[in-house]
Amino acid sequence: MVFVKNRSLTFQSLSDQELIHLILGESDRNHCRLMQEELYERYVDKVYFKCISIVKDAHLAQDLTHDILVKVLIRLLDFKSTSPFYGWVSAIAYNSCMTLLKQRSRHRTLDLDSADTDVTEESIENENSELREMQLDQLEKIMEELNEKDRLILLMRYQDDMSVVEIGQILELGDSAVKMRLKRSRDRLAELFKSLGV
Amino acid sequence: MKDHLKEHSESLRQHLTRQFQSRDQKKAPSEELKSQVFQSIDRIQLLADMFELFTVDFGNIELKMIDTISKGNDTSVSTDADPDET
Repeated sequence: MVFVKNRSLTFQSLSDQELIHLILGESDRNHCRLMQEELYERYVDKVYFKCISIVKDAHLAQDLTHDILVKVLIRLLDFKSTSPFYGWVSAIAYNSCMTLLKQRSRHRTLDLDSADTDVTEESIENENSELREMQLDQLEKIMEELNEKDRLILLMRYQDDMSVVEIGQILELGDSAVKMRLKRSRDRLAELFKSLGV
Repeated sequence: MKDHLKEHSESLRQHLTRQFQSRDQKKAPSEELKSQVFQSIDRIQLLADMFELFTVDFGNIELKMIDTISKGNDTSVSTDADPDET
């Protein structure tokens, strides 16, 4: 009984992994729901922020967040507890955003699968060294101007600190293609930064 | 030279990571989203239960029925032709 009364508090103190383990072993649907709600609360704002940062449309971002969280909570069995849960949620979120952008690009005939050119990360990042001067308010302005696919890859790389390999796994691209795409997105970031006239 | 490039590249990456991670992340979706998400989960759960009913459970019920019928048949056969009686 004590456990039931303090259930929400008990759940808050649990790690993601512990909570998922309990959800998967719980036969009582009401208890299961309470634990799913706790996971929902932990991630809803983070997922929504990712979506709105990419699609820049509150309604669409909310629809995407809905689909992503339903997928996450339904597919908990697929989560491998050896990796961080947030990384798994992020991968599902980026995949869903990617699918949406691909669907849109079919209509707009945008090229999301650009050429694969061998490049090194070091040489690329040095080309945009002026970005070291960029401040937070400037970044916010520039993010408004960038297109969705640039925002997506930059968020993966810099907001979620994903490696080139991790990005490649989500975008289904080779390392060189990811690096090239990052370069192009960073080039546009640098161009927009210069256009601010600072 | 390569180390120098790597160092510069790393410092730019760190700067961009800091800036991106410092962005205001306080944007939140509407309150209704939670009920929408759990309604969708309930709907999916209901479909899964129905699917289970018509596959696993229906299969079990079918097996029980066949079992009962065959037992009934066995009884009638055994009474008709009980070797001990003959």
